[in-house]
This record gives sequence, C-alpha cells and structure tokens, in this order.
Amino acid sequence: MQTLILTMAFSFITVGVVTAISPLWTRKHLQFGVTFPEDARLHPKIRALKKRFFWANLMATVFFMLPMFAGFLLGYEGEQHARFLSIMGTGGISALALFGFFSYVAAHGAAKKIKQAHFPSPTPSGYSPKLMVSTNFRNEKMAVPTGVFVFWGLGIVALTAFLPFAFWERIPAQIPVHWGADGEITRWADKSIRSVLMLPLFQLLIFPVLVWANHALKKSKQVLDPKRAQVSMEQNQAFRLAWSRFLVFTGLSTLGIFLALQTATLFAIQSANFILWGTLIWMAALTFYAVKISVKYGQGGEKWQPKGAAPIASQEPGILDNDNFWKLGLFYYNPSDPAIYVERRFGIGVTFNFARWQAWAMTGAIALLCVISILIPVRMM
Amino acid sequence: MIIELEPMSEKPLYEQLILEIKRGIARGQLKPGEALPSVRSLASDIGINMHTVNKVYKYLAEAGILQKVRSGFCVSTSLPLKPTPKTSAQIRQVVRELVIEKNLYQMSHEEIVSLMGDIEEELSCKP
Repeated sequence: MQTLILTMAFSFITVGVVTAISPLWTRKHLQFGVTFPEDARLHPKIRALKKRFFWANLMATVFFMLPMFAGFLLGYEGEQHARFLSIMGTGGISALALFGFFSYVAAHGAAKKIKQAHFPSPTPSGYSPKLMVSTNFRNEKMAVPTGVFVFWGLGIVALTAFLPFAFWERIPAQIPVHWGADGEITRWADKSIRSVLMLPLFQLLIFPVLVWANHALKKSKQVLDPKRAQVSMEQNQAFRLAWSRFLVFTGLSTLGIFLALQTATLFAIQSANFILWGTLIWMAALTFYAVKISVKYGQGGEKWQPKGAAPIASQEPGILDNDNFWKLGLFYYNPSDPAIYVERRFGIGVTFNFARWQAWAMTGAIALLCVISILIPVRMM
Repeated sequence: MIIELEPMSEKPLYEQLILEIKRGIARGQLKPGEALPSVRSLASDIGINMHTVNKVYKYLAEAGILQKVRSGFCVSTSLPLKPTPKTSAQIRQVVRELVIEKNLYQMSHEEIVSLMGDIEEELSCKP
C-alpha cells in the first residue's frame, strides 16, 4: 500500500513539477514556443507569465493529487483501497497532464500577444538570417552506439528467458502472475513455456522504444546558434551524449528489473515487497538523474559552457525564427523539411516533424505497443 | 567545417551550398579524403530536399572536387585540384562579368585588388 501511494504521489509530483519548471530550461530565444530576441526573457511581462505558469501548475499538482487520499477517509481497505487509489491516481495524473497542456496553450497565446506588442520582428536593412550546419556533427562522440545498447540489452533479455529453462525442475507447478498492493501474490498461472516467457516478452516490447529514442536523439536536426556556432555545436553534442547515456542506463536497468521480477516469479517469493521498494527507489533515482542533466545542460545544451568558452555578447540575431511551422509552438509541421526528428520548442528533448509519414507511423506503433502490453496479461489470465 | 547558409537570400540554396563546400576545401577545413555527411543527413540538417543535396554532390564530383566512394562522397584526394574545362569556362565567365562591372563603373585595377584582399580577410575570419 505504501509503495503504491508513494509511486502515485511521486508520479504526480514529477509530471506537475517538470511542467511547471519547463520554461526555465527552454532555449533562451524561445518563450512558450514563440521566438523572441534573447534578452526578451528579462522583460517584466515575460517573467510574470512564467511565474503565473509555474504557480498554476504547482497548485494544480496538489489539487489533482488530493482526491487520491479520499480512500482513507472513506474507510476503504485492502484490494478495494488499492483499486480506488489506482483509479483516482491515474485519473488525477491524466487531469494534471491535461491541465499542463491547456495552461501551456494559454501561455503560448499570451506570449504571441506580447511579441506582437513589444517585440515586432526585427528586419534591419540588409539583414538575412543565417543557418549554420556542421559537417562533423555526428562524427564526434555524441551518443552511445545503437549496437552497444542493443547488445547488452538483448543479453539481459536472453538471460531472463534462459533462467526458467535452466531451473525448470526447481520451479513450482504454479507461478505467480499478479501481485497486490502490499506485494502479496494474488494470481497464479500454470507453469508453461508461455507463462515463463511473459516477462521476456514485455522486455522485448519496452526495449525497442528506448533504443529508438536513442536513435532519434542521434538523428535529430542540428541546432547551431549563428552567434556562437562552434560553442553551440559542442553544447549540443554534450547534451545529446548525456541524454543518450541516460537512455542506455534507463533501458538496461529497466530490463534488469524485469530480470529481478522473473526471479521472484519463478521461485514464488511470497512477498515481492522488496522489489516494489527497489523499483520505487530506482524510479526516484532515475528522476533525479534526469532532473540533474536537465538543470546542467538545459535544452540543446545551452546552459552548459564547454571548457574555455567565453560567453559571447552579440547584438546579431541568432537562431532562425520559423514560428509559422510550429503549430501551437508544440507540433512541428514542415512538408519541405526532410528531417523526421527535430528539437523541441518547449521542454527538453526531441519531437517529430508531423509532415513526415514516419512520424505518424511511429506514433501509431507506440500506441499499439501500449495496447498490446495491456492485452497480453489479460489474455493470459 | 561549419556551413553557413542564408535561406532568405536571393541566391538559391543549391548554389550557396556548392560555394560553401568549395570554400571549406579552399580553406582546408575540409581535408582531402574527408567524408562529407550523407545526402539524407545533410538534407535533414539543412531542411531541404534530398535531391538538392544529391545534385550538389554530383555537380562537385563531376567537377573533380569531390569523389564518390562506397559510403557516400568525400573530398577529392587528387591534389592539387585542377579545374575541368567546364569549370575553367565558368571561372572565365565569372571574371568576364566582373570586368564588365569594373569597366562600367570605371573602377581601377587597384580597387579590385584591394576588394579581393578585403574579401579574403572576411572569408578567413568566418568560423
């Protein structure tokens, strides 16, 4: 029960707080998905907008989290309480995410108005915006190679799949397939090839997503600041490498958790409580790791200074303003751009060019993956 | 090297890209034998059609500036670079246009040489 509450509460806080502070680690020339001159971020109206956004999302986090605890007041116990908590928690997080989205849309609209009123597009005579592209961008070490990631991952999956066959005699006739909120076993299945391979199957559903995320990070379009091209290139490379390592760590440790779970399943360890606590601590560790990288590098590595780089103050315009291709400042749609993956405008990471069919195919594939991973255990019951 | 383009300029990106690659090789930022990014990768980073980049690479390969290898295109290893007859004709055409302008505005020889010096300096200051 405690681990369930803590997991839910933790998820709430992560979703809400990350949304709230996203404006802080966005690139300097962007405010809520709208291009501005870099010093616009010091403008009182912009600062006020960011502050409002921050507090609104923080308060929403608390507000949507509270209903979850009603179970205690209503005197629910055991499985009923767990179910109530899960439904309220999941519903609350969804509501919080929706709130985050709408509060962003509102802020985006406000930012556009501020831009029109206070920062009309500068067109000094003879000014032609520059686009800089490095021919060495992907030659330097800027991501963990896919082969390495896949090799180690498949190794763990193979071990997880091999384990039951190595100890077949030692495995009892019935194996647990579902645990309750307190770590006690609530459902059993007959020992069979299918039931012991359920967990490796899940590994194979989840692992490709992280491998693909690492791939997207590598392929994503370069973003060089014309004012400081070399420095911004190093920043971008360092940023991608840091996140690539994070993805590899997350991927391999997730597979490791499944391996631990397989061990608990096969030897019918009565209380998987230690696995629940272990998972919670691991989730917290991952979150802190992610926040640490986000704070250190910011989006695209802009906040990180490579060794020996002096901050360059330049009045020249920087990164290209292509606001018109960004719908709501969130969704990039540019049919003449062959890139599939581009850097996000709000928050950290990479997003799709929705004018490319591959973007839709992959979005569909992820959705399908979610559906499959819910249907598999249902079919097995 | 870091390629510099002006998407809003009147000069088509195709021509700008050709000139930039030439500039990189001339300055030694693209070394003989150095591989250029794949057509897909460069097109994606710039945000233009892959056919455009392919045309650029093919054009430079025909001029003997790039060479096609199994994995893509790289800078030519046959040094020093010699202009093909077609390239020589193009250089002649460029100079012809310059001379016409010089005569039209009655600029002196020294002015042109000084201008060349300025531009050389400008190009060497670029990242």
